[in-house]
Amino acid sequence: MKKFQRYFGSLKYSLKLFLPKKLPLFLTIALATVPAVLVEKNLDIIESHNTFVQNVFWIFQGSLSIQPSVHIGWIFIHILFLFSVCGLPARKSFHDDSSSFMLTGNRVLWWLVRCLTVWVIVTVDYFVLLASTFGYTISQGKTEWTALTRYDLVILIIPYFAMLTYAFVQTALSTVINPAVSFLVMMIMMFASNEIQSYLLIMNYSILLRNDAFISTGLKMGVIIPIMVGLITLSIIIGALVIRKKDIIGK
Amino acid sequence: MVEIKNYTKIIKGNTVLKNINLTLEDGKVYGFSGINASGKTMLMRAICGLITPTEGEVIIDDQVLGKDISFPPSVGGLIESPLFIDSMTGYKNLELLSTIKNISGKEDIENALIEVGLDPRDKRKYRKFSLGMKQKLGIAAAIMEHPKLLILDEPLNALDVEAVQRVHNIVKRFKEGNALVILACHAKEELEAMCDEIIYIENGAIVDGKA
Repeated sequence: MKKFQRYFGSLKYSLKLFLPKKLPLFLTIALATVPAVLVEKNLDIIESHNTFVQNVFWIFQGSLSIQPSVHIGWIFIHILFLFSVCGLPARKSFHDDSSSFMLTGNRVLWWLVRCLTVWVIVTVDYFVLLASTFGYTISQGKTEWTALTRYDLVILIIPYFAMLTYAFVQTALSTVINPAVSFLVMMIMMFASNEIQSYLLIMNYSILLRNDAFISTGLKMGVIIPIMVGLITLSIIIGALVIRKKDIIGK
Repeated sequence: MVEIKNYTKIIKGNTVLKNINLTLEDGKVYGFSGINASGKTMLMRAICGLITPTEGEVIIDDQVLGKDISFPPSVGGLIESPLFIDSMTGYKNLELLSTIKNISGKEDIENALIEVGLDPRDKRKYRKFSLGMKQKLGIAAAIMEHPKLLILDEPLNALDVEAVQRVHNIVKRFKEGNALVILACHAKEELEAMCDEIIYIENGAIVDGKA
């Protein structure tokens, strides 16, 4: 019971430590969502009477692989999501968290608590994005609801899992390299993914126009879903193995 | 009790700790003395479990660090610069840390702050603290949960005469409570005044003291 209390306490500590710092970012995501939608629709406000799900699609549609183009809305949203977990799992450097390490009492559980924190932050990011999109949709007078189709579920769920995958990969990378560098690595991955459609360039998974649910030449969902699950699992396992042996040394 | 057996640590080709053998008993105060970069802080990190050995082991009350346990079960540490959240008061910083183990209540936090000479009701944010106040807060964080192993690295840095005396009193109280206290300090007279035994470290090895 005492151990459970400590791990729960460590989670509370981690959330209290990181979540308040992310409030400006959550606000930025909320404010950036609608412009992201509008930019994708070429600022065609008059014809913007799309459903909520269609508006979410605009954010994550990206471009076809045959003619990749820069989608500022897509890029900006991804930068914000990745930036929101930059600086995790540890503040600035692992040295900053030596107290929380020792108080948690177990290295692997410290890491798992930080993974949970990453999950919470990305989920809040995505919820803010959806809420902002929903608010915009309502403001455009589109209030009728239809049952969600399979395509709607793909639009709502796949980008969320893709964002989670990127966040966990970045966080795992941050256990071995500087968090700022791991963020840079993800940025490079992002621009490369925009240019080339490939299962190896994982940020293709959140480009809906490259998903086989919407285009026959797209990446197969039967492949990307297991890859995302595998990458998240691998990131957690690799991070745990690194943290078990990591030296917590000052600057 | 802390036992260090044949402990060696090599970092990027440099041997920072060489074949350390040491037994530290509860109810005593040990001082680590040595010049800068002699290995005092590294040895403290080893005891805290913050670094893993290249060879050897640290045993805390019959449990091996890194095998049976990741960190000492009841430890309070001030190692290098204390680090807290700039936008919070001293009290709030300690309250946040206390949520992990949830064994310190409001009274423990307040008493720890008073004991180091800080005001629990001080509304100033950490970013406004002087160096001395930051140091005091670090010591308060180390003692607030009444640990059985207290490790203080250069606790007297930036402290005035009154605060130094407070640290003396804290060390004495912990010793009388049968805790194991480990200090590192450049001021030899202060170490001699507080410690039952001084261990001299040079180039990562013990050159004098209990082995």
